[in-house]
Amino acid sequence: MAAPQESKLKFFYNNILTGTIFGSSGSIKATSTESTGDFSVDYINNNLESNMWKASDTASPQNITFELDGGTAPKANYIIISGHNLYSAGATVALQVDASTTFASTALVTIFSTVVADGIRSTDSVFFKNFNVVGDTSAPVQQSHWRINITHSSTYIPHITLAYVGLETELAFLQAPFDPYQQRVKSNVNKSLGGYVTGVHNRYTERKLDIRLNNQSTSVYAKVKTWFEAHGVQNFFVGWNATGSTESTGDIWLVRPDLDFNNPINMNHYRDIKINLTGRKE
Amino acid sequence: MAIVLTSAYLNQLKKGSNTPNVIIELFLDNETVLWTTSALKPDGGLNLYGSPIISKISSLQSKIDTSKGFSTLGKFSFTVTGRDNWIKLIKGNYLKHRRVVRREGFVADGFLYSDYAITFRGKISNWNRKGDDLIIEVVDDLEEGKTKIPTETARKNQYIDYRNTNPVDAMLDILSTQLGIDSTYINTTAFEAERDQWLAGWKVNRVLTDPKAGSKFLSQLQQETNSFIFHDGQRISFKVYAPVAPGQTVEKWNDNSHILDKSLTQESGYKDHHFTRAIVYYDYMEKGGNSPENYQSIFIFDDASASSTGEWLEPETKEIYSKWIRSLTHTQTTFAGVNISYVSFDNSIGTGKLYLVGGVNKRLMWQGPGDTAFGSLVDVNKGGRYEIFGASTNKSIMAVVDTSAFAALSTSQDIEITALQATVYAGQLAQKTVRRFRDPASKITFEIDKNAAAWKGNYIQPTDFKDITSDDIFDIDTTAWNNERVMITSLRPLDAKDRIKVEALQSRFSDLRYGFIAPAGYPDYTSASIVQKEYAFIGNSSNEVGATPDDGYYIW
Repeated sequence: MAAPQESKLKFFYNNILTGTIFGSSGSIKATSTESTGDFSVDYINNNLESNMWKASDTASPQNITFELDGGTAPKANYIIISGHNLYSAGATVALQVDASTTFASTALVTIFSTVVADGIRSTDSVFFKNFNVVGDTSAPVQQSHWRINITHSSTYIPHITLAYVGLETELAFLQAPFDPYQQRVKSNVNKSLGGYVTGVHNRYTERKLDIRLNNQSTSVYAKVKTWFEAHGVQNFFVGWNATGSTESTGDIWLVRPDLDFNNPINMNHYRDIKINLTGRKE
Repeated sequence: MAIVLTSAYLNQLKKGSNTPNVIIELFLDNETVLWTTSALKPDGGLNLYGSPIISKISSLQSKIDTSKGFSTLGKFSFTVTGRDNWIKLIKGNYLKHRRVVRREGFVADGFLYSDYAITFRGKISNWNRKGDDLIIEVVDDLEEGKTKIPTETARKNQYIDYRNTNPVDAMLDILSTQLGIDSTYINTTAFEAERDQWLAGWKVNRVLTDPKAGSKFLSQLQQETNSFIFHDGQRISFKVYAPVAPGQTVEKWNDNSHILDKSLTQESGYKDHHFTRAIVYYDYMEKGGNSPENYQSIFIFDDASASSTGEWLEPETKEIYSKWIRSLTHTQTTFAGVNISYVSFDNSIGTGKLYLVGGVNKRLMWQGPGDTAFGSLVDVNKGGRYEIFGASTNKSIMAVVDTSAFAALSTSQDIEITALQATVYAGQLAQKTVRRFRDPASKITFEIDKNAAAWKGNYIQPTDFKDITSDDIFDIDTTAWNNERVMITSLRPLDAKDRIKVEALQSRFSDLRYGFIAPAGYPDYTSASIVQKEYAFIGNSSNEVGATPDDGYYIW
């Protein structure tokens, strides 16, 4: 008998690159930023795909750094980079942490260094990686200064639309019938007088994830409640089969929720959680 | 020439499925802003990026009016969504008149920025804000046509001299010199090619003295030469209404491959495109409106059979009031401060005399050809425009006077009045109007998929001809059109549906073969190839050619 589909959905909304998280505050900087036009590094954490950070030239490496200004050092166990050209640029992405801004102290640790063109992906699709403390399989990394280090081909100017570094949120197993790859193509199909298709013009493809978690305990409900209250209806990433260090290219999606948040307590005194997510397929 | 498309673009049109994209380039003083409907894919290099914040593009329309002789201004508007995206654009930027370029292409691997076709160049005319959206309006350079020419002077002695001038040269001068449209935005090559092929021998004669919108003069010239000025998306271009020349191929459109379902309409043409008789009034007297008493010459062409009992029963008359076709032209006086703007038809051909009295009391007198005495002295002390009559009062001239330049002397000068081929021009205009419209010309509208927007590597444009085959279009000759040649009069891209709305007018060029002079050495008709038969062959007494025989050739 074939193995059943089993996976827990993960929410990736927690992002230290926003500058304010978990009682800590900080700032992000980039090595360089294109000055003609609007390509601020602040755009990588605004949850919008309609703007981006772009370096000013082809110099390598380019770094995006988070520096703690006050509060507790933040933790993270995943990184997601989307809307980038790092595959085309032949880039290697390294995630580094340090206790100081120089990233040259003895506390400097390279958590990972990965060639984006890793044989799994073939395009500039979403880059995702889980990580933990080096030598540990479960402990997230906690440090005051973080750096995304990008080395790349000298003919490219790297750009990134969204970058998330933070702690993932794992939900429970899904119960209701659910196709994580549900999608709807927004397209114009024109037919001639004779009934022949003369053209199919695609606009974009919309992803739909209708999540149903019935009879859930307060711990699962607390996770979704924390997510909605902290993040609201903004875009965020959701992962399917997103575990370990997989660089699966197809299972990390940018989505946004409906405007309503309503997860009633049922007659069994458990929560019926219902979340509808919509996203633009990359 | 229409917009040229790259091979990558053409390949996308051939694909069964593609992802259209539109890029708007806005050229500000310190930067160029790029907006798109879809994000640009990296093109494998130092690629540009467009912010995908356009939520809507209104369809822009390029249209020509075959009866009134003008083209609509190309205009479109686009909506940028997200207040934070555009608020910094309004503040601190002089947006009005800033240039905008619209590029169309596709999101596809290997499709470069340079493959995007420039489909419109214009400038910002207006913006308005609705909620979180900013709507920006862009117009093309024919907007300059609203400028009045000649520029008015304090003494109303302004003028622009187009005596004995080719009408196409007059149009070009109005566009570039008088209206100041940059030559980059005028397809001068198209103007000159059409002029040399169809209007080489034409001469119009007019001195403009009354300020009017430049587009009005352009409209008159188009109507009187059966031609069209239109914006092809990138530049102002020009086309004379004439048969397709040998060697040029016409695309064939049909029900199965082109005309989209539920989009077809047809008008009979009875109301606006049916004339069995044409009257061309010319030798305009430079005063009054479009009324016969303000013209000194008339040409009437009547296709009596078209209005006979067996056909349309009643005549349908087209009246053309020409402002530019004249029987006479004249040499210009060299008297400083005087410009003869008009000589009346009754002067006839010959040598007239202009007499100038300088000094304190400035005056002018005119003696028409054949007269032995001058007419009355006209006091021109105040400067401006004057009508000066000869001894024969029907022999008059008009002059624009700037007395500040008058010499302090009294003298006369010969003015040579010579003939122009006005009867020929008026006759051609009348005959071609009736030939085209003696049977009503149907107007059809339909939509095509945007994949059908290219022909021979070029974007389709108004004035293009297409041969239509459709079971759903009829006229007096047939229950279904078969390769019926139409001229596109309007194109309106419907971006939201990835279609183009086409408006076209039956040309009647399918009914007759029009002849062109062939190169030397062509064989007789029966041995000629299809390509060679695009030229003219002399027919028999019934104007038939070949063994069948086939209908012969006609002169356009």
